[in-house]
Amino acid sequence: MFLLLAIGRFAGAIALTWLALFILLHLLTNSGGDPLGLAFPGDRLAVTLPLVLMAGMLALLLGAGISLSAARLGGWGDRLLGGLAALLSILPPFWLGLLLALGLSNTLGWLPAGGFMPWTAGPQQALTSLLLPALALGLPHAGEFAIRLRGAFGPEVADEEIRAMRIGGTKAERARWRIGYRRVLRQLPELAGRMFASILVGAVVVENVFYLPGLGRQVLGAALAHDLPALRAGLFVLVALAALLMLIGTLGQFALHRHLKDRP
Amino acid sequence: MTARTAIRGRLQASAGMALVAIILLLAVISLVWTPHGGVTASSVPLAEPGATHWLGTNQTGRDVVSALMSATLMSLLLASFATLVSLVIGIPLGGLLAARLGSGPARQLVLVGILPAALCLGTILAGMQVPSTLSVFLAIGLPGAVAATVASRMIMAPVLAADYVAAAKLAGLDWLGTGQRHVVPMVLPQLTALALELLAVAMLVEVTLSFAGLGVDGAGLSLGTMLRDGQQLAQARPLLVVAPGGVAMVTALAMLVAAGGLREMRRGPA
Repeated sequence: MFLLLAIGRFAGAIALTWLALFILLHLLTNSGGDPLGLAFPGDRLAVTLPLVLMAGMLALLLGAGISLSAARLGGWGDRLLGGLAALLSILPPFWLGLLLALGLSNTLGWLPAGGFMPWTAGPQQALTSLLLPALALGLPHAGEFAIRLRGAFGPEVADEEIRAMRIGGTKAERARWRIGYRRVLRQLPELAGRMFASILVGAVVVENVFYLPGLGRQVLGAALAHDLPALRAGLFVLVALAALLMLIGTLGQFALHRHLKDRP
Repeated sequence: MTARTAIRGRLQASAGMALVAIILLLAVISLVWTPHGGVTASSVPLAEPGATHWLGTNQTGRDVVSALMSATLMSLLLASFATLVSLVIGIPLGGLLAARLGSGPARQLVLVGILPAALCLGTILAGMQVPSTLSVFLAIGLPGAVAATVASRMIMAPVLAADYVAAAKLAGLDWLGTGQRHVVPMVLPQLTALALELLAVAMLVEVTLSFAGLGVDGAGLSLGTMLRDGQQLAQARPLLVVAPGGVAMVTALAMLVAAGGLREMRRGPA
């Protein structure tokens, strides 16, 4: 019962939008053949999913790092890091990818500029070829995540809660941090779900910058070639995966809420 | 303190708007004058940056500065039409929602929020062979309209619920008069800031779509297509990739700075 309520409350609107989009797509492009157009090679997912996971992890870690160190530093360091996060958050991922490829691979020669080493060649090489695209996808999200987190530790953290904790014998600084952490935790799963979904769709362009043979490349290639069945198949998988990621986030959010409610 | 914030906001807004105005002026001038003439290729392809070609030439021999100026105009035009679509749909809808249902969820307008929806729509429309300009408008304008609805609802709800609005209604002023006298002056700076933010995001999304080949086609038409052409030559001529993206980023940043300044001004003494 609770579960149904939670799904209805958080994911309903989002899921409906995606579903409507998909049905529209399906109706517009239904031209016989494979009814759902699910015939796609699974090895494309073997590129895209690790890429999305890497980018999301990078975004979460870097975003948390930026915002926490900004909150610790305060003053000019805080402002500087805030500016950095704001700048990162408006960088178009594909341009960041082009710049990173220019700087880190062409000039410094640290990482491959593009292409994908298959997993059979060894996981280390495959991961290395995914690192730059993951950075390009993850950094803008890291900036946005940092801005949100910084808000949770900001000066507008509820005074009343802090006062209550101080009466209980906690130091002011410590109380501020604990309340900040609690606020962050409260919105983290849903934020993360949305972020991973957004990264997944963003991979459509970034995979093309780095010549990665992933799902996004299939979608974009099909769109540019006006190949509707392939486009439908690719977009269906993409949209379904994005919806699934958001659903996971929402369910995590719900589980966390119940967990937090049980605690005093 | 609030006076100081207001002054700082005014400074910030003026600085941002000044930069936007300079870029706009350069873009508009490209209609009548560019350093090396119009679209015609006139010289050596891939020339090094130097005194004659400040940023070099591209693979067809076109001067990069000239190309940048006219491409900026194209990108700005596309972005502003898409923003107009979003605002025309979003503000009335947001106002209606605010009047009927009060304030809604607080969502911030961000690039990473609009980009995925725009990409999905863009691939569908391009796959269906919708004319490219129309598909750019729709792919940017529709997600932008949703964002504008949410944002303008958030802006208008507290004003519509204010006591002086209720008082004006009780005193017999009709809704048009109330809106004109009490609501519009209060929300105008915030709506302007929203429009600037939408414009900045629309510009970046347009660049992304055109780069992916989902936007306007034709070599070097917009900043995104310039990037698309330059990608192949990024190793030999990094400027062909850095410059168009840089122009788009600076323009968007200037708009966002101006929008932030307008927000701060609003908080000061009215």
